[in-house]
Amino acid sequence: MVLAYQILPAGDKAVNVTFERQVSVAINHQIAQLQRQLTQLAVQGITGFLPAFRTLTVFYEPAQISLKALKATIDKALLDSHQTASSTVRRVHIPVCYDAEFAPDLKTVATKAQLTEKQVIERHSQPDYLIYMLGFLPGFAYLGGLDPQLATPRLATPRLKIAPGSVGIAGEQTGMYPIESPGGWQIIGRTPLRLFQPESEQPFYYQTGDYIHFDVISRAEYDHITAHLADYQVQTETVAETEVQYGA
Amino acid sequence: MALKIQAGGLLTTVQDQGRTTTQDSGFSVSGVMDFDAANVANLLVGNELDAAVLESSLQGPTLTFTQDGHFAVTGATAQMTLNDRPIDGYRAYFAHRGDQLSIGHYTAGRFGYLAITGGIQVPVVMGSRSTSLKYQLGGYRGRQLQAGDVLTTVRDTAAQHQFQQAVTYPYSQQAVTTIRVTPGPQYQDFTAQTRQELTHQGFAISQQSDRMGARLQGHALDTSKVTEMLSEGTVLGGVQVPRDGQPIVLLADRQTTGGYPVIAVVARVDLPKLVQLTPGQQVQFQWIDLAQSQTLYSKNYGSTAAIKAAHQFQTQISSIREPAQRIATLFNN
Repeated sequence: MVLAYQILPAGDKAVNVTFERQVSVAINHQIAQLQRQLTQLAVQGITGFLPAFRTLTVFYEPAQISLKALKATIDKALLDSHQTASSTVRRVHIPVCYDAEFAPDLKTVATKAQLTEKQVIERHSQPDYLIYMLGFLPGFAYLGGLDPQLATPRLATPRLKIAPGSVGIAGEQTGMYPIESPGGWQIIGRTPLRLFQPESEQPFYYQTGDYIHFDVISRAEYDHITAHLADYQVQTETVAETEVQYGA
Repeated sequence: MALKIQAGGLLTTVQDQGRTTTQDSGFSVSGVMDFDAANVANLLVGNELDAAVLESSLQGPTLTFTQDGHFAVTGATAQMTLNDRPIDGYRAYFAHRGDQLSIGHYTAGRFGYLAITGGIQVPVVMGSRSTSLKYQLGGYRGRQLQAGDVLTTVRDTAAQHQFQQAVTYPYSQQAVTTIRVTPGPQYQDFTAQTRQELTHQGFAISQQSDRMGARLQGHALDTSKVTEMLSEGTVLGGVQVPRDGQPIVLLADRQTTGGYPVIAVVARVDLPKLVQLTPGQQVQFQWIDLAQSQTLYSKNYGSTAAIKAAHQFQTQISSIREPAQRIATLFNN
């Protein structure tokens, strides 16, 4: 079934395909599916996409496709999407070291959750997190699916510098800092991966609609990956949607 | 052809049509602020429209050509000299090795452009040569230009030509400039009264305006009826209204997603006019419907394409008047 939507113009060269105002797995899947479908159709005049929580912004060149034709194309793609809907999703494994040196706020999170630090690490690295949106920083993923017990408010005073690769918690969200940035997230680990590689053909490992899984690594493994970063192959799987261990 | 920078001006960067393919990963688009002016500069020197140019804000650079080639300066008005001889904007010139081009303070308009035959050759990063100042990436070493920088371009093989001046200064120097807008994605979330308030008053361009956005100051718009939003994708020219009711028009270096309601979007053809306004000048918004706005845009787009097609010039000095006149049609909106 196609979820309720509206196509709202956003100026001369874009429309927002807008779904119900809520953060939901179903809406996220519908948006990802629509983007895939339109990409496959390679519609003349569509120039790009920008997915968010409940919208897919579709950029177009009005000199090549009229608004009317664009709307008809989107309507049809959405109608067809339930037939062609892929029941598989992508899961991207991000290695994370939760050692004290990289986890200044692990204790705070554990205290708040009334768990041991080890339990926090287990619970944080257990689920598959869904990427609802990328934004704020290049490659910064708004992830859903954090164990509610791990939810911790932001720091009262944000840090001026958070190291790239840091993994943190803010309220009911968890996420990674792809580049150095100021920020108020509770930092509980760090990945040795460069999450943003502007010089590469593929500057990012993941996109909206993918799932992220944090794999626990030791300090020795962290150092090993850092030393051999160029050879490191990020593990990416295509799995059945039913196999995904989504938390929330 | 190559350029050596003697003085970088206040904010001179390499820009092209922008970095559009990574905005879905959260990377800002950037690119030229006034694409009409940049397009004309490229057309005048026989470039493709996606060739990289130099964009300057408030004051242009002083530089030396280290090889022969054509160049054109467009956009904001300034005193300009080639080896101390005054030259005009919107016109192609041929520079010889060792010639010095000096572009002064802008006396009208805010962004100026310099195009060189073949375009500025900096590495393509994620599909674009545009400078991202925020992430210090793209363009020339990810930063604004300064004295001593050397930029390379391709060898100019075209015969010497000097185009007629294409247009005189096309931007508003008036105290109040009308900027047409179409309804934005959150238009319906604002009350009819607020939608009227947007066009029933003038807004001043604030000092805080930059490549990210034009911040406007006026009688605050009422956003109290607008429900809290989930962040969504931003578009160029989107007029977002934060809680304080002072609109911000989102420009080249805007964030890719935003959580403030977008009441309107500036008509494409009026964006160059808007970005060229300087602090203190006033904007008077005017609602038009999307069909009208897209007709204006298509005309502009069509003219640009026509000029481009007619403009596969190398040596046709006899026909220089014609492209100049055609370029002038770009501004008849």
